[in-house]
Amino acid sequence: MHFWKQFRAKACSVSLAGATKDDVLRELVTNLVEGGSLAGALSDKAFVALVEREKMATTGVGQNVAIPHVRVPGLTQTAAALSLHRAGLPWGSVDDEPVHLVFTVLRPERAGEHHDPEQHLEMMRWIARLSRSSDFRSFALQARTRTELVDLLKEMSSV
Amino acid sequence: MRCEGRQADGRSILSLMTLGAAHGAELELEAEGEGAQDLIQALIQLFAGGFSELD
Repeated sequence: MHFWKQFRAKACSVSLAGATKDDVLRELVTNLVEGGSLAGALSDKAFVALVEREKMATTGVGQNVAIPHVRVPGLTQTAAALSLHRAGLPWGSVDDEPVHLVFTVLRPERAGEHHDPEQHLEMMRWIARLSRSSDFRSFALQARTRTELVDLLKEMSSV
Repeated sequence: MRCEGRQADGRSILSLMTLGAAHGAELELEAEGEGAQDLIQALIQLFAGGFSELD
């Protein structure tokens, strides 16, 4: 299982700074674009999809983790990032706790050469298992660089 | 809740995510304790109604 390879260090962050959920969603999209995981032309569509998703129901799954996961029209392969908000942000999470760790996952609308929905579902299962692991959460919170975040994902690729 | 031999705690969204239940997957629900019957009935209604996400 090499799902960690979907996470480019440059698209990740250990210094999310937004003070509102919308600010942070914008930051996440910008980082994906700057990290080369998302075409700049799709950034507005990605942002709108993320905002709409939060309106439907919170992606704050508890234990200080949020997993915003949306389909983006025009996207041909998954764009993913793990990001850290040290101060923590209210996210309307199921346990009312602030969010420190954000797994952002943008996926294509349908299957294609670079997108296998079954593999995608497996990746989401892996992300859920990581999020449930207190070891993972505590190491991720201690990461000093985004490379350390990706190294951690690699280390825990068989969780 | 069970799916293809995997089991999850229905009270935890993260636990449910680990089921990897795709659209159309077959789920088995089990509840115990006070109100278990009512809970299962309510869930049956939710599934039947497509969780209000289907027209």
